[in-house]
Amino acid sequence: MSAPAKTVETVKIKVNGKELDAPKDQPVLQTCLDNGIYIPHYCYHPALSISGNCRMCLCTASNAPKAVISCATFPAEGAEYTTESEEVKKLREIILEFLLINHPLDCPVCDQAGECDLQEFSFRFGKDDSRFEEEKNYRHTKKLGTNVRLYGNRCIVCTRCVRFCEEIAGDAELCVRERGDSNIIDTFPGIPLENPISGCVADICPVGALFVDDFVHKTRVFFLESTTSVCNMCATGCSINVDTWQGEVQRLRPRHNPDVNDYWMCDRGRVGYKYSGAAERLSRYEVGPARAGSSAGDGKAKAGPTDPPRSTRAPSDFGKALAAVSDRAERVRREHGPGAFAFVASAWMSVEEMFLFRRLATTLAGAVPGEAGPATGILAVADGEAWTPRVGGAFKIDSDRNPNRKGAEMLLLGSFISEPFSVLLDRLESGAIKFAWVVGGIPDFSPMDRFRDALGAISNVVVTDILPGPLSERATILLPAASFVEKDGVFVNGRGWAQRCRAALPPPGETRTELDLFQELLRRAGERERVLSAQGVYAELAAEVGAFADTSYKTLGALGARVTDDEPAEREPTGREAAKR
Amino acid sequence: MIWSLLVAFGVFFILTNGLPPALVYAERKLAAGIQNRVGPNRVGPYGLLQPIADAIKLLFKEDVTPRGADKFLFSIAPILSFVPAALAFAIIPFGNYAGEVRLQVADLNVGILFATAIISLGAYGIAFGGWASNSKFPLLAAVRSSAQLISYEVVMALALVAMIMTYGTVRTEVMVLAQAVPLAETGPFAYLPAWGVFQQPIAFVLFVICCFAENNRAPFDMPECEAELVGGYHTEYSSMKFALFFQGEYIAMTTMSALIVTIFLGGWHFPGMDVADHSVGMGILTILVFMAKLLGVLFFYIWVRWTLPRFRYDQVMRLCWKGCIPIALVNIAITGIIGVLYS
Amino acid sequence: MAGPATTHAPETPSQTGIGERLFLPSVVKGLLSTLRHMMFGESFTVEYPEESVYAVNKFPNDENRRFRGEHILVKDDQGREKCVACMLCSAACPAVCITIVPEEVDWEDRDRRPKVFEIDMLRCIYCGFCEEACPCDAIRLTPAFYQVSRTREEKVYDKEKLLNDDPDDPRGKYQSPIHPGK
Repeated sequence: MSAPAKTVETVKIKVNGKELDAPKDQPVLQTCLDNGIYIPHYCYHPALSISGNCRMCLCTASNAPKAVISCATFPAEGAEYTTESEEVKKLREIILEFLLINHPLDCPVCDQAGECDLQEFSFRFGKDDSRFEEEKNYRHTKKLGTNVRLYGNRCIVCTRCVRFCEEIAGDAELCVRERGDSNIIDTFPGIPLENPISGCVADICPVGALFVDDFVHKTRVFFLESTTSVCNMCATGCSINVDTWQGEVQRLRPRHNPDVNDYWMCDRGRVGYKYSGAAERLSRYEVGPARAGSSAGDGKAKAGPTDPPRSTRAPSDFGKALAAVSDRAERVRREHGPGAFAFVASAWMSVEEMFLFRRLATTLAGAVPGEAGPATGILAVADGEAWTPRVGGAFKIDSDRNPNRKGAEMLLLGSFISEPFSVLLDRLESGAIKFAWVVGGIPDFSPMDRFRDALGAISNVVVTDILPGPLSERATILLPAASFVEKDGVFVNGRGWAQRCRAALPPPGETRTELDLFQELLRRAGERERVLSAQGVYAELAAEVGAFADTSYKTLGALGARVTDDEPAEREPTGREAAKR
Repeated sequence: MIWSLLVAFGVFFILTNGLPPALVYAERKLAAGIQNRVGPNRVGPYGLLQPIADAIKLLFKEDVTPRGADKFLFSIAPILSFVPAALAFAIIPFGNYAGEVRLQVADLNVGILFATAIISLGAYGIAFGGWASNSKFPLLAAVRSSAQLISYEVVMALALVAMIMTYGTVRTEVMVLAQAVPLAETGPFAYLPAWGVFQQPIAFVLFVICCFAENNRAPFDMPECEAELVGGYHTEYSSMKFALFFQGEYIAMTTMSALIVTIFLGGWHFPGMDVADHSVGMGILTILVFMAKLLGVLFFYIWVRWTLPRFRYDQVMRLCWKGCIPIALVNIAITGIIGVLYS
Repeated sequence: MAGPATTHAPETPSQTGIGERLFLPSVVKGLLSTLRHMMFGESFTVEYPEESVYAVNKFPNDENRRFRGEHILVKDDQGREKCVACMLCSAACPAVCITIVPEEVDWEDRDRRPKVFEIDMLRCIYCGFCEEACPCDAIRLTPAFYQVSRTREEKVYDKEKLLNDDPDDPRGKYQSPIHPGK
């Protein structure tokens, strides 16, 4: 966090008799929250403009005759604010009674139950009864867009979602319709909520009114176990929480990280965990015979499938599969030398895995001075569409769809990969390559035809992958891999922020993580003594690779750290700052 | 001689093998009745074979001697509690004469004294059993039991002193004969027999209390109160040793009941019987009368057990030393005064 | 006989009467009471294999509803399960024997119901927490207690089995007297 500390102009205020230095341009509510004085609030969100409509954050001030809403009150020198008194308690009770008059109290069927501010504040600050005797009014339940669903009855019209669409997403699809007690969140006619970060309205909704469709009626939030992690769906690398229950990922939630994603994440990333729980996940080590009759010197691989049928690979286990890998590598090295090897990494690997894979390549292939080294390359998915909000917000979606391309550039380019991909393709097709190791781990990956066909003609193809696909079909030795919810590692996002990804679940079946796999192979080759955790490997990496020096899992912490200098490190403005301009 | 042996053997057999199972069955059935239950009804008709099933089960159980137990005392304790109880029955005249045969095992001239002496030995069984088990609960039970038995023996002896003064003898046979007359020559009491219970009601009550206490029966079952001492002195016992304790308890109960019947309830006699009639028929009739009275007292034993809650230990001792002993002493004094006045 | 049996209780006038102090009259009263039970008392025992508790009713408190036996899922007035799959029961369950998978439905009054509702009766400890946790009165413990099955699988009760409303079934006959609405 190298952002220069701006000198903040402060004034002295007193809250509940405690003296505080309050930044002048920050509402009293935020100052209180920062100083551990909790004030309940619904409509206030630090990333959004101030609306002041929920009235939940009322407090009394020495310089105001009546109670003020602390979210819209900016500190005055010497003023005294009271958030804990009989009067404030009474006010909160009254506000909550009002908020609840039209609330259906259907907590048993509401997916927010357990993380609902309305529920929690009613419990902590509310009255235990209501004097409302009339019919509750009924408001619509509908899908606002493909991803988002609105339960109008539960809405307290705090307008966080409306402000989000205006200030962060920039498309302003949502509005408040009707008046009085029947006002309701809705989209403008014919303009559904379809921006690519629409799911965030469900996160910021303090009650159970807005949901991401994916999570509705799935489980209960009080069952979920959260693991802090990093999204793998693009180079933005949003900080996320992986919520799991019963060995399955139930949802991904953005985690506040001011330097990376603020409070937000995109809809694509939100369902980016799906493939990790797919039924067809590779979970078995398989070893097949080496492919005979690779047409050496043919130049061009034949078009069409040259694969062996899958049945030639027999089920194996971790130990036997590794033994097969090292045996065949050994044989190829003896017979053909290091030039007959090809190692293809992936931009979806963590930096630790890249680091180990690099080392493993030199170990397996060996090096003969004067001879060509192994062919190397890196797999990555093609760029998608970048997204920037039309107005305001700082949250952008990177066009790069690879979570760790930056890390790959830092670790592998130059030191490991010294030739362009086309050279790799040429060498693969030349027939000189007898042993290729391809690390996939990319869901829905369709490699270019030349690469795919070349693989089909190589005698030994080791593939590390998550899902069955063109790569695994061409493998002679198949090593299942862990997906990002199952492994520990560090990913470097497009702007050079290294963040930790944590294992939320065990890998499926008998799968071991690549970290274990690579280290075990190195251990068998006598290159390592022990199989370390990701933290240990990262420590080795930090000692060796300059950019990562002085960092460790401890210093990375929950929010990560910047490890490159080649782009401006200045923090981009958050929504409210942008809106103020 | 042969007849006397046969009688002795018969008494012993019935006492050891006949009565305890029957009493167990009766106890369980009566308890069930009192508690509005059914009681044993699965083994045999009306559950009559239940005691046999229990006996077989006990026989086939593993005989465990706890580690650290004093093996000799541990083994001898059940016998010590079983034998004296059976021995004391020897002096009980359970009938008059059947022809030439005296329906009593031994007509000792120190009858009652023998009985009290032998019954006191039963305390050793419990004391040894508790001590030898090498376990805290049996030990506590043994200590309690010893104190309780010694205390109540005093009361029992004092109550018996009054009876001995009344009858002028310690021979049980003579005691029965002394009760086989009307209580008074004339007046309303002439219709009552001169049973001990009518002559000495206070001594009767005291003696009955002592019997309960001596037998460790509820409400005086201090040595085995489950709530405090697990199983009491026989916590560590199993199989036949436990069975012996169990049997000894019921035999002691029978012997005590027989003593009550003999001393206070006219023994084998019933008003209208001719004590001089030594025919076999009359002999059998006297046995039946005795048995009826005995069963009545045994029923009372069971009845009380399932009615009264257990005393607290300090209450047991207070009842003895501050209640029963003074009353017994006063009773002796009154008996002496009356005896002197009427002699 | 001697003085009062206890010195712990404060001596109230009723306790210091001669009868109380002598103790014997109370003993006699107690003996007579037990004798009455012995002679005239009716047995409460239900002789289980021959007699069925569901048929025999020896208890004055008619259906002995306080007994916690096997569960039922209660149906509403339209014959649908009242359960909304809020999973509070499985959260409350100390034996972790309740499995619920919710599903969405298009009903007038609620939009959620259990797709799967399974109780593993072999794990259940019959504590009744599920019944207490339920906000919809949808799960109840009935007096039914027959725990007989030939396989373990039979003791995992699925939704259909739990929704039993057969009046001849020991569980089904405890289906709710219907409470309208939610």
